[in-house]
Amino acid sequence: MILDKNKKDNNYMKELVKCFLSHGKINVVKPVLFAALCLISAVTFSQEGEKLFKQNCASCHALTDKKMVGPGLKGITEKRSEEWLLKWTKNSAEFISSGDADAKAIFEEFNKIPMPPFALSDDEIKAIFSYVKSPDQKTAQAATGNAAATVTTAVNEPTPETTGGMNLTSIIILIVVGLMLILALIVRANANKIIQNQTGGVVASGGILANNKKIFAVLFIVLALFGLKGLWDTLFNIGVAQGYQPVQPIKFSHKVHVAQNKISCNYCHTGARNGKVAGIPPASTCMNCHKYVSEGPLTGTVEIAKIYKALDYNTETQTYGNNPQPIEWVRVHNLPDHAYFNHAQHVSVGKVECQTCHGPIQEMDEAKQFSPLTMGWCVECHRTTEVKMEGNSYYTKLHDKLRNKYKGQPITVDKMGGLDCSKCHY
Amino acid sequence: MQTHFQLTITKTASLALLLAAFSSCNNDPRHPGYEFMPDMYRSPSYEVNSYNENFKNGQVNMQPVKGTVAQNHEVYLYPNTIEGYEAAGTELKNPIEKSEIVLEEGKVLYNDFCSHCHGEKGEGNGTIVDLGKFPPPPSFSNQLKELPDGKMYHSITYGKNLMGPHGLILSPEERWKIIHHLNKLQGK
Repeated sequence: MILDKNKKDNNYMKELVKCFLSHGKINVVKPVLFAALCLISAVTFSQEGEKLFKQNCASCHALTDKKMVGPGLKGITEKRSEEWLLKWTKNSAEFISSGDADAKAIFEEFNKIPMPPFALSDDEIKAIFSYVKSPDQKTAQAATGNAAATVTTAVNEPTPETTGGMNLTSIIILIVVGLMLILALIVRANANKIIQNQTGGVVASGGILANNKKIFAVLFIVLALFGLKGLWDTLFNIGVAQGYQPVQPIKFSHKVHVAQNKISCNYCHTGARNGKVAGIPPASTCMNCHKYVSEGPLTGTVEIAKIYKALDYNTETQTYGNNPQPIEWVRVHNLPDHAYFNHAQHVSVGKVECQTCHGPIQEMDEAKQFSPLTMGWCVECHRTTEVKMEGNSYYTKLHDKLRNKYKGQPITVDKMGGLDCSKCHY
Repeated sequence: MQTHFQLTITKTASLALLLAAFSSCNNDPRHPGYEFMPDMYRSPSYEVNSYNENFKNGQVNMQPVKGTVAQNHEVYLYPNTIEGYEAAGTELKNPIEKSEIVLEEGKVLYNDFCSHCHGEKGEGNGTIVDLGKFPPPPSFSNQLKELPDGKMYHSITYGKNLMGPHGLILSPEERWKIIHHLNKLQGK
């Protein structure tokens, strides 16, 4: 870029001299126009470099000193001569075999992964390195992934509902009952005083309880009813883990990955399309992105390090050790063993959205069980969900038969045996 | 009379408290609640991702035995080297015939598995690239315009540069379907 600019500056000087000589006075418009042109070309030159860098280099090289597939390029223009860089970029393999010691050392350092030859012109390569030398601050950050904090909206701290123990209504009811009790006792005491004054000090003997039989009777009946209701609910909730939100070994946020990064559910839960279980992705799936993304704005850096630890991955040498440890995720959804459920059947054939059963999972920092997963809940959906018959030529005959049988009525899952016991229990 | 009444209220009170104690157990989101007859709930057989003390690390999920191939997967003979990449590029041909359905399936798979980096149109501007979290991959309509199918297949299987291997999460058939869609993005 510098070379090029100098060249243009020379031209500009020549132009200036020419103007001066031919007219005897400086024509202002021409050189100013020319200078503007130079500036524009310099800017576009740098933009060209940025574009070329992103297209050709960014998938292996960072603008900082971070090691990726290849070395980080910060300060490379001072470290190596222009000639060296041109030779390396055009055909590194040839350059290494020509016996350059520096080139060979770099090749050895990065696990002998060769950089492919690039059919770029000298000017294009120079443009790239001029961009590498002085990238705009913002783009430099973005290209190294450190900008995650500024670019993404802040991640909400996980806010689990920790009412603990009793729920809010029970607490309110208890407080109200307690207040009523105190009030009743005060009234009773006052009434006793009045009676005392009237009868000359003769009061019915006995403790607080015996003196307030009716009040206590009502109170305890209320409390007992309330308790019965609680027991009823508890019994009905046996085996129902709706709202279960266990603490996971890694603070993985579906919100960041799905709502912000827009990564498809299927990318990680590959079993959902063609298997019974949607599955927890293997850590190798995490590494498809996290080999590069090793930092996060809030808890990311610590949490991502847990993946590296589980895989025994060394970020310095970018190699895997031989002592991996499984990440022990806590299972959230557990359908009883006596009920059969198949993800592929619902996701691939039934075209049911993940959110139908898992709720707004894309908004959850911490995953929790959204649906009750009770039989009533399954059956309710089978009664109301219409079967998608379009574009399924394999079952045309069967679908026609169903249409004839239920003329005009919507054909829901239960109309084709979706409520048969043996569909799920066998 | 008095003692009888006191006895009754003591009974009622303790019953009420007992019931209240019972009802208050199931609201903790960190607790999965109670199970009636867990032997009907918990599978006696080992399920995917579950724990089995008989295996190393207690993992049920294991690496395939050496020399075996999983169902619907294949023996891929090209090694993960530059030579293998070049050889795959010249020798491998897409075994799946192009059709409307295949193109549609390829597009769905591409959007699920590739588009967050490569972008919906394959121009290297996927969502995580736009957010500045990941460096942009080359564009299918530009640098990769002439990339042969075999090299694409090789790269999806083993990964390339910063891209990780996707051979484990995409079956060979799915990979070739995606390549049909990529050809479309290349403008072929």
